[in-house]
Amino acid sequence: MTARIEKWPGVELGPKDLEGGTVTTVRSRPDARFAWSAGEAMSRFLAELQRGRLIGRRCDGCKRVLFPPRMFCEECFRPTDAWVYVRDTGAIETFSVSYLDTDARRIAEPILVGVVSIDGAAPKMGIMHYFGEMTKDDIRIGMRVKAVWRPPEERTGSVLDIRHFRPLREGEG
Amino acid sequence: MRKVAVVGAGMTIFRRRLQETGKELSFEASRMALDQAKMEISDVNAVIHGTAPDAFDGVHMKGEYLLDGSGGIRKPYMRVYTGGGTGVFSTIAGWWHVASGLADIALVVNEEKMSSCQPHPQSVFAHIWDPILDRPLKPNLVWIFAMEMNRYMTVHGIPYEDIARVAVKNKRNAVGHPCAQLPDANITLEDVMNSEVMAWPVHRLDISPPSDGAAAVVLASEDVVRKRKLRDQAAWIKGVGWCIDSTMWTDRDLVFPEYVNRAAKMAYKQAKIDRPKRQIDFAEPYDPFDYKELHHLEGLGLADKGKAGLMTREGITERDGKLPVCPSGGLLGVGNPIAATMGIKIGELYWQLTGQAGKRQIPHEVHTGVAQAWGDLMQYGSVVVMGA
Amino acid sequence: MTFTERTTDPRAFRHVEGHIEADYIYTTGLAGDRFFRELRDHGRILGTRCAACGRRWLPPKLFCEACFHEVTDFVEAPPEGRVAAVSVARVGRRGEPLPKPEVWALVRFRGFEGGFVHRLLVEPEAARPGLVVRAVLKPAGSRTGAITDIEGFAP
Repeated sequence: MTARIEKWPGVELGPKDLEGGTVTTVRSRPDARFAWSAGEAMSRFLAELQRGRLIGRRCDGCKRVLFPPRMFCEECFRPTDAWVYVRDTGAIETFSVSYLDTDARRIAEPILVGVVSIDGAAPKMGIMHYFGEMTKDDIRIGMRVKAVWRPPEERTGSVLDIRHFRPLREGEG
Repeated sequence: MRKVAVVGAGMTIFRRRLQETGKELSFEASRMALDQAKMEISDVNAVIHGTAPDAFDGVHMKGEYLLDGSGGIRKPYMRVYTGGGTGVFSTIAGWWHVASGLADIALVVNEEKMSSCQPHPQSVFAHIWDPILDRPLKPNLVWIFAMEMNRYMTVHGIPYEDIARVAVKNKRNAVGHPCAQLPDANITLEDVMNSEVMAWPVHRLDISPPSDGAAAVVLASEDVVRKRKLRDQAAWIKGVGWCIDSTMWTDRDLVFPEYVNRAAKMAYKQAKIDRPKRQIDFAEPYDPFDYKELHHLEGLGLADKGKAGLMTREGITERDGKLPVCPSGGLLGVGNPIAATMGIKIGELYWQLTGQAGKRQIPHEVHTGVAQAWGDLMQYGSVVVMGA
Repeated sequence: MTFTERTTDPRAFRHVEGHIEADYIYTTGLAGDRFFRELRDHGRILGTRCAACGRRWLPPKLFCEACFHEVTDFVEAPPEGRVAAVSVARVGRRGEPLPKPEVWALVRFRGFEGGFVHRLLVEPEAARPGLVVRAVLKPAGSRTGAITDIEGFAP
């Protein structure tokens, strides 16, 4: 009976044991390099980003405009039907104010990041991106935002062709 | 389909770093489970191994690598992996083997050795992100939990205090667990709420730690339980369910875990449960973050949407409350060696239902419990209902 | 049904390059730690013996694979082993030709399950199964507690 088990196996190590070598270890670094194909839909998506435009695909089955675009609708499970441009404005669906960078190091100035749903696409459909020209106290779910594009000569066909999304101003969109 | 029981369980301690290799950890947990079930490896007809990304241990084809420590040599063996859902899903895969009649006795072994990954397992977690849409933004994994937590809190108007309270409850519960990595009898709400902000709204003490560990359970058919007179140490699997949602997480409203709800309905249907709030006596939902316990309780139909936080506030989910939740101490208190959390989900259900939970034993009688795990990019739910 | 359109000009396809970066520190485990310390500090090669079924294992293991019991008896490997199989590598991991061919062997020891895959310290023409070999160790001061503390096996 477990209530009577006295010895639970496992030999604990401290960080100095593992990294300092008080127990025998082997170190290794894999060298795995990749070239991920963007595929049919995303190649067009990236090309349009380079042109300063956002594009989606429409499924005539469920009548949704899927963004980012995909060649098949995962709900209807059929190929999608047409390319449709969408707007570069939208709303903040959710966000985080991050004091961690990608390597889990602390940063002093937080990164504002979240999901923005895009006007012209099916409701709630969006992408993750940075938010800018607002403070961590300004940012809120539901805020209307607009993409800030890099100048054409700096665009490479990447989601980073958009610098960030900023608050929509009076009279815009 | 045949009735299937868990007749023995075992686990190692959970710590940030353990010296044993993955094979040795698997062996330690398996041997303990077999000893508890009074069986030898020759009694076992099939072995199922659950372990999460190969990239944590840093061994390609990890399932094959760990099989000799899992008792799988020259047996029907499969490795299953559903991200964080593996902690409950591998038992479901084990259940398939016995319920179908293909095996009379199955050994389910789960292992994780995250300490191999330097400087932090977070470095390989980064590769779950889409290379085109997400990775160029250099995301940190905590962002995605922060975004889900924010959506959940904002849509329902849940104060952070109600979420932090879960971390306090679970870390205190973990004091009763012999394998616990972060038990804390004295932790307070202020400790959690004042801990440093990682990615708002997530604070440091809202997060479970990465861990090394292993766990194992022995599954047996009704015939085996009867012939070997194991009824007193058997807890029966009444229902299983699993479900996954799209990887396109930016398409979904993260406020409610639809995939957990569907998995739960599948399990409840099999277990003939139509009023879970009344018919489930205790629960072990997956709690890698404190808000997830609440999120999952709602997905499991044990709390109304947006209302799970009230239950913690009112003490309903304490070990001596009306619906004990995470009496083990959960991932927040015991540790998070991904797949090996089976020991505190399925394992805890087993030990509670058979009266073997020691200091953690729920003080009133419990007959039916539900364990749930969650994984991938906010996608996967696995649910098991067990009864005495 | 297949996709309603298909690009045929490969120059229109984009790809994203990257690599999967991670550093690893692997512990050698409870049995492994004993093996490597013994090798480093005393120049001895140890295996384990299962008290339940009598099988002996090289390299040592915490558990007996066959009867699945914990193993705690450490025994010294015999000084001589026998080459069970050989391989001569003439290209490197990226397909580049090697300046000097590398000779590898699986060496087994009488009475023990398992064995070692390691360098065979002979010219490629002399490499063959059946050779009786001994371990050649690095000098004590250069040993670090790794499999490379063994330089290789030689007749």
